[in-house]
Amino acid sequence: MEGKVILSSSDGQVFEVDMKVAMISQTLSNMLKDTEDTGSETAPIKLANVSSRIFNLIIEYGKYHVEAQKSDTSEPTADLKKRVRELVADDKDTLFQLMIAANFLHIQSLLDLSYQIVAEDIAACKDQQMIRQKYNIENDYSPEEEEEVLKLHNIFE
Amino acid sequence: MARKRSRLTLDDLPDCILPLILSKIPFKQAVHCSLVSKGWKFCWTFAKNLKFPEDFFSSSRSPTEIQNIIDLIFERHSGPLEVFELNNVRFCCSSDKISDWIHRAALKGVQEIKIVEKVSEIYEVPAAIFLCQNLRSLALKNFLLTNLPDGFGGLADLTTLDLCNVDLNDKIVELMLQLCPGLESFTALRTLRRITFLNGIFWRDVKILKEFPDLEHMCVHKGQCSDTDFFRLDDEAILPLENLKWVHLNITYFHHPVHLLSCLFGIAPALKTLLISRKKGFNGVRAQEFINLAWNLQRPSTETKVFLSRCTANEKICVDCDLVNFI
Repeated sequence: MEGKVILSSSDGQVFEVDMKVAMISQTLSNMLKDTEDTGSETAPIKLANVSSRIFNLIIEYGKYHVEAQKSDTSEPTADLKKRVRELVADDKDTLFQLMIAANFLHIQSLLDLSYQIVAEDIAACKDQQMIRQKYNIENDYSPEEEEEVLKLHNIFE
Repeated sequence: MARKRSRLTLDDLPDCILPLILSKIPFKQAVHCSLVSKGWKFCWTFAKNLKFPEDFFSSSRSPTEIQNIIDLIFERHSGPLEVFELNNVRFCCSSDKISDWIHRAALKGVQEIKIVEKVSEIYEVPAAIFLCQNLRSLALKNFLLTNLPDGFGGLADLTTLDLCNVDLNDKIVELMLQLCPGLESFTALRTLRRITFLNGIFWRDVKILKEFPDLEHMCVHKGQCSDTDFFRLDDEAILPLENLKWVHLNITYFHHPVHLLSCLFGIAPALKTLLISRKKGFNGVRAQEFINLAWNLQRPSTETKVFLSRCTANEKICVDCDLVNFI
């Protein structure tokens, strides 16, 4: 598929995106196939839950992805992961929004990479307090329950 | 533009996502995570990688404790497994136990197994490994591999086979290559240090030798071959095996024993010990003459020793140039 596709974000901004880039999204690729079949004039496709800020990042990622597929770098995944880290600039909020958008748009490679990034960040925390703090999670264990889990934990330590 | 910032947390993500993230955390840290909150309690059970490092087994726990912990992990673990790794486990866990874990890992579709032992040449490779149909990568260190399980149908997906200091024979090499079509030929076996050619037709295997530059120890056992097969070593233009130090030939006929020695000395410049077990004699050359002839040859070094032994089923007598017992 060649050409451009017109998309609009939740805040009404209109994007003209390379077809190749748009096709990395399973959701968009299905939609585009449908419109192609009916031959209807393509009105901008509205992405109701993707903001323009996040959509810009997705397009950037899409370009990297298409590029990575063309070139034969030895570590395409590691390279892409680095790019995604750069895109979100260590901002968890952005990363989560990106993840939700990737989930909605069905971009499996981006989802996998962002899972890995979060998993790496969690694994790098030195204990449960640090994880709670970093990810703003409330400890909802009662002292007794915590004691029980701690026992299990100690087996493995 | 003022950005609306409603901070998202992990809880705001769609429900299916958290387990997927947690499954990517290494097992040890995942156990840590179960302390974070109720929602995370069982996160370690999704861990895709179960790696038990050396210090896990060498800690102060008793063997029973260690076995119980691993049993418990397999009992509670849910979902698929990708990597299973054991380090120096054998001294505290029975082979049945280890096989049982490998079976469980196989049921979870394990793709990568690594088992490292510290002490070499004592333990047989657990046969259960060869039943892991999803296996892509297998790494073993310090094992014996004398048999493949009956009815072994191959591992279709196996691409990487890393055998370090694994004692195995030509039949197994051949079978593995036949039955594991994905294997990138012998390159996967390049680290091989010891090989035993067992009842093989050696001349076919001679070519194999050049695939094992690290070979230190070669044993040709009860081969239906005669020494003439070795002369192909010259024809095949095999590069010197710089690390080959120990050769044991237990073959049926020695037609040209001296030529044999010069061929072997030629490809093994570092040869320290050559052990020859006589089966049916040296084509009329008496052992004493044989040794004399051998001594006149250019030996790789003065350290090179040639032993002759007379092998019966239970007895092996090594004689270093002193042939009283030999004739």
